[in-house]
Amino acid sequence: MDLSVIGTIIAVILTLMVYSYLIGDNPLYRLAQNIFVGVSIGYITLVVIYNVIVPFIGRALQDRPWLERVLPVLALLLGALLWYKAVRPRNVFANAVLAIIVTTGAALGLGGTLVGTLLPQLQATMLPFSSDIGSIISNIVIIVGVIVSLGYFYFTAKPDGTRTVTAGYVATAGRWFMMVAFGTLFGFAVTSFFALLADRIRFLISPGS
Amino acid sequence: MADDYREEEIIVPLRCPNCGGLNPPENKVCQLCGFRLTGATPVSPPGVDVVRSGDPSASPPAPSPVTNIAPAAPSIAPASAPPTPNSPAGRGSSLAARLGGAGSAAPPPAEWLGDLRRNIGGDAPAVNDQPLPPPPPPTIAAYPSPAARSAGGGFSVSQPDDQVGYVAPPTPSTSPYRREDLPRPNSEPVDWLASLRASSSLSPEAEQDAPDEEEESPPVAVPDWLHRMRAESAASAAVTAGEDDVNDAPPWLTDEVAEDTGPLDRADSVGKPVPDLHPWLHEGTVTRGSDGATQTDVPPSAAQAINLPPWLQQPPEPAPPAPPDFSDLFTNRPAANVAAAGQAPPSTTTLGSSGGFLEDSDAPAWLREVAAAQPPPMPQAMTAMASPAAAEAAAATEAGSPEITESDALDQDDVSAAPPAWLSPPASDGEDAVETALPDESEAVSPADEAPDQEQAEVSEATPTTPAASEVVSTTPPIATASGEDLPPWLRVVGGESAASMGDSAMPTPVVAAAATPTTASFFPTGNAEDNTVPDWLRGIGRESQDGSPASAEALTAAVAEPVQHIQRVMTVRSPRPGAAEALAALVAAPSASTRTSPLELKDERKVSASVMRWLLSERGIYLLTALVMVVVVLADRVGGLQPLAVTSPAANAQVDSFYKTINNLETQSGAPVLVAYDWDANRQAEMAPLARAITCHLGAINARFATVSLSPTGPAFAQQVALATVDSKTPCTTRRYQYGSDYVNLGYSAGGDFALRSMVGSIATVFSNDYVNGNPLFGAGGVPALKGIKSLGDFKLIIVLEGDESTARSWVEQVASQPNTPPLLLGEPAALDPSLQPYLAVAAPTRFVGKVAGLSDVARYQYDLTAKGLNMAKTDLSFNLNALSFAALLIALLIIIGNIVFIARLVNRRK
Repeated sequence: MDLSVIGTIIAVILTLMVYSYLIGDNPLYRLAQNIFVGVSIGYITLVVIYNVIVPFIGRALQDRPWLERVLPVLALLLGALLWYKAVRPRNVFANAVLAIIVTTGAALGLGGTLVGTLLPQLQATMLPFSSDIGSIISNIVIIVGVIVSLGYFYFTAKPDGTRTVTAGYVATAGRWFMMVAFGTLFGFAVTSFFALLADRIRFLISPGS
Repeated sequence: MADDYREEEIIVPLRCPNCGGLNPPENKVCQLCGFRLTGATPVSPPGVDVVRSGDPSASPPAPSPVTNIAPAAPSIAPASAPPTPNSPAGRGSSLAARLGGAGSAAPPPAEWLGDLRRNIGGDAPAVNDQPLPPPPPPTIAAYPSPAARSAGGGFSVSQPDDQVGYVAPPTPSTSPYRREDLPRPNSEPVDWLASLRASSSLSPEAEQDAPDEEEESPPVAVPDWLHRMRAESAASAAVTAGEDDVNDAPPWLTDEVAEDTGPLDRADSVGKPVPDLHPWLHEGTVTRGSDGATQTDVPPSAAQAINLPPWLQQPPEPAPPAPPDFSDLFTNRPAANVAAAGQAPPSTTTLGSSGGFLEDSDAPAWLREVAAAQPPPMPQAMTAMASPAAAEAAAATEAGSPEITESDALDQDDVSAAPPAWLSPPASDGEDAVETALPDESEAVSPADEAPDQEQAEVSEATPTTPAASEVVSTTPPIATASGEDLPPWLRVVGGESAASMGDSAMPTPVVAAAATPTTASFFPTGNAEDNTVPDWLRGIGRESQDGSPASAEALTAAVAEPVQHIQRVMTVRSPRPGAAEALAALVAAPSASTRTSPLELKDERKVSASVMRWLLSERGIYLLTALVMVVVVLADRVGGLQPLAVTSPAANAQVDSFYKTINNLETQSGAPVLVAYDWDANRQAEMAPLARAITCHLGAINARFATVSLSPTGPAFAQQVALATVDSKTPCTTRRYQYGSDYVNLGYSAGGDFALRSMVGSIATVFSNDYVNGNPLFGAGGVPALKGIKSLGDFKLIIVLEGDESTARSWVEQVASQPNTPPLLLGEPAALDPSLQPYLAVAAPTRFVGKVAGLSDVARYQYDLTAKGLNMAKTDLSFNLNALSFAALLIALLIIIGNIVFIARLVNRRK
C-alpha cells in the first residue's frame, strides 16, 4: 500500500477524532490533540536542528574567512550560555546573553515600529478630502473613529471624580467603534475557521483530492 | 434496695423530633403530633421526675382533668454528671426551667431521695418526728416504666415528700440518679433484683439462699418494724403452696426482670417494639375482683364508648397466664418484702386493713396516723364488683381501717392519705390470690367481664391515663377546673355519663381522672372541698389529712396550687389529628415512588431538556449545524447537482487586482527572481493553500524563478508541497515543469523573526547557507542557479508574503518594507487577519503592501483572474470550499437575525 494512502487514512481518522469534540470533550479528541502536539514538536525540533544548528556548525567548519568562521562559533557559544537560565536563572553569563537579545530586539523593534507602524499609521489618518464623496465619507469615518477610540482611553477626570459631558460622549462613541472593530475581527475569524472546516469536510468526502 | 427501687422508677420520656413534645417511652408515635418516635431522643431520666404509683395522688382521680399534672414547678433529680444542654440531665434541667417558675428553686430531688434512703435504712420513723421543711413544689409526673409501675410506680405527680411527711430533707450526696450507679445497656446488668430478692425473700428458705447478698449489702440499720414486716411477709410467703421456686420473685417477674436488666432499661430500649397497648394502661387499672383475681378496669368497650382518642382505644393484647396474686403481700407482708416483689403491686392495691404491721407499736407514728384515717366510702358499683375478699376489704375500709397504698408501704416514703376503700385489695388471700391478683399488663388491658362496663370505665378513668395528660401543665388552678368546664367535650360527655350512672355514688368523678394524672393538688381539693365535683371520700381524705397527717391537706394543696398559678407556659395536649392514621395508611398503601413521576424526576427531565437546548444553542451546536450544512453542500457540489455559488464572476477587488497586476508585470522580465514567504501553519491551510497554489502557478506562468523562505517551522514543508503540486508536478499548472534548484529553491526555516528579516535585508547568506530540500550550498561556486545574482532581499524583484500571523506580517513591513531599496511586497493572508493588517496596506504609503489577497473570496477573485489569463486552476477545489463557506455564512447570518429577533422580542416583552 502506498504511504500516501496510509497517510491519508491516518489523516482522516485524526480529523474525525478532532471533530468529535463537537459532541463533547472525549478521549479521542484528546488523543488526536496530543498526537498533533507531539508530531509538531518533533517536526519543529528536527527542522531547527537540521535547518539552523547544523548549517551554523558547518559554516564554521567551511573554508571561509576567519571572521565568518568565528561568528557562528560565537553565536553557538552565546546560545549555549542561555542554558544557564535553566540551571541558574541568575547566572551572569546567561543574563548577559539575554541582555544582548533583549536590547538588540528592542532596538530593532523600536526602529521598525516607528518607521513601519507608527509613522505609517499617522500618515494613514491624514487622509485627503479631495477625492470622491465616498472616499471623503470613508476618510471621515476613519478619522472620527481613531479620535473617539483614543478618547475612550482618556481616563483623566475632574477633581470631583466626574468628567465632562463631551468626554463621556467621545468615550461612548469610541466604545461603539471598538465594538464594531472587534465584531469585524470576530466575523473574519469565524469565516477563516469555517473555511478550514469546509476544507476538512471536502477532504473527508474526497480524501484523494 | 431502696436505691434500686428508686432507680427503677426512673422513666425516660421520649422527645418527639417533630414537635418536641414529651412522650412516654412506650409510644411509637408522638401523642401530640403523630410523628413516629423511632429513634427519638430520650429525655433525661434524671431530669424527669420520678413517680411512683404508690403515691396517693396516683390512685384517686383528680378533680380537674386539665390541671392534673404537676401543679407547680417540677423537681428535677440532678444527675451526677454536670448537666449539659445535650445531656439528659441538661435537658431535664431545661425542662424543669421551662416548667419551673417557682419550682426551679426547689431543692434537688436527689437530696430528698438520698435522705429517703437513709430513712429507709434505719431512720424512717424519725421522719415524722422531724419538723417539716418548707414544702417544695410538686414535681412533674414523669411516665414510669412498666416495671416501675408494676413495682408500685404509678403515673402521678410526685408530691414533695417532706410535705406529706414522707421523707426528710434531701442530701445531695445520696442521689439515686447517679449515672454510674445505673445499669448500662452494654455492661453487665446490675443485679438489683437480686438485692431485692435477698432482702425481701418470700420464705425463710429464700432468706437462707441469699445470705451472701445481705451480708454484702451495706450495713444499714433497719428498724424493727421493718424487720417484722419482713418476717410477716416471709411467714405469709411460706404458706404458699407448691412454690418450689425459692426465689423471691415469681416467674413472671423474673422474666420481666430478665427483659429489663435495670431500672433504666426502659430508657435504653427506646425504639424497641413495644406492646400495642400503652403500658400505663396495664397497670393502675388493675383492681381486685370479687374472686381476688386481678381485673381490668378499662374494658375496651367502655373506652370506646366514652369516645376516647384513638390512641386510647388500642386493642388489648391477648391475656397471658394469670399472674400470682400478691394480695397477701399487700396486706400482711412488710413493705420491704412487697418492694422486693419487684414490679408486682399495682397502684390501686392497699395494705391490708386487718392489722399487720400497721398495728404494731413499732410502726411509725405517721403511718399509724394515716392508717387511722377514715377511708372514703367505696362506691356501690365497686362493691358489687368486688369479690368477697374485696367486700371484706371494703367493709374494713368503711370500718375505718387505715389503709395505705401498697407502694406507700413499699417505699416507706410516700405516705399520704389513704386511697378509697374500693381500691383496697382484699385481705390475705393466700398464694392463689397472689397469683391471680398479680397485675399483668396484658391482663390489665383485657376486658374485665366481672364488672359492668360503666363501672369499669369509671374505674379506668380513675387510674392514671394518658402520658400526654401527665405532662400537661395548666395555668389554671386545679380547683378552678375541678368542675370540668375546661375539659374537652368528649371528657365532659364522659363525665356526664359517669355522673349519671353513678348517681349519688361517692365514686369520684371519672371525668376528672380520665384525662388527668391525679396530682396531689387535685387529690386534696382543699380550697373548694365543698364543690360537687369532689367526691365525699376525697373530702374525707382531705379532712383526715388535715387532722392526722403531719401536713395539712389544705395547706398542702394551697402550697401546691399556688405555684401552678405561676406557671405561664402550658404544655398543651392535643388530641390526635383527625384522620392522621387514615392518612398514614393511605400513604403506606399508596403506589411506590418508582411508579409515579416525582417532582425530582420532572426536574431532571427539565434539566435534560434544558441542557439539550443549551447544547444546541451553544457555540458547539452552531458549529455542528454549520458542519452539517457544509457536508450537504459539499456532497451536492461533488455530485454535481448543486453549484449555486460557483466561482463564475466574483466581485472585483482593488487589492486583488493590484496583487494580480503586480505579479503579472514581471512577465516582461523573464526569470525575475521572486521571494515567496510561507509564514503560515496548518491552521491556515484551508485559505492559504489555494492562494499559495494560485500564486505558484502564476509565477510559473510568467516564467519567474522564485525562492521560498519561512519564518515558521512548518512553512518550508508547505512551500515544498505547493511547489510539487503545481509547477513541479507531472501535470503542472503551467506550460512547463519547474526544476528544483534551477527554477525554484526552498531556503527553509529561519529562526529569529525580526533579526532574520533584518539580516536578510543585509545579506541572505548570513541567514541561509544551504537549501531546505537537499542541503546544498546556496551561494558560492556551487550555489543553486535559482539564487543567481541574489545576495540580499533587495535583489529580488518581488516579495510575496503569505502570512498566517499578524505579528509576522507586521515584521515584514517594519523590518523589510520600511527599509530602502527593498522590492514591493504583496500580502496574502487569511480573512481573519484582514482587519488587523488593513492599516499596512499601501494606500497612501508606498513602503507597505501594495496588494493583498485575504480569504477565499479574494482567492476566488484571484483565480478568476488567472483563469482569464488561461491558467488551469480547476484542481484547486476552490469552488467546493467556497460554496460550503458561502452556505455557512448564510446560515450564520440567519442565526444572527433570529437571535436578534428573539432578543428584541424579549426586550419588548420585558418592557411591557
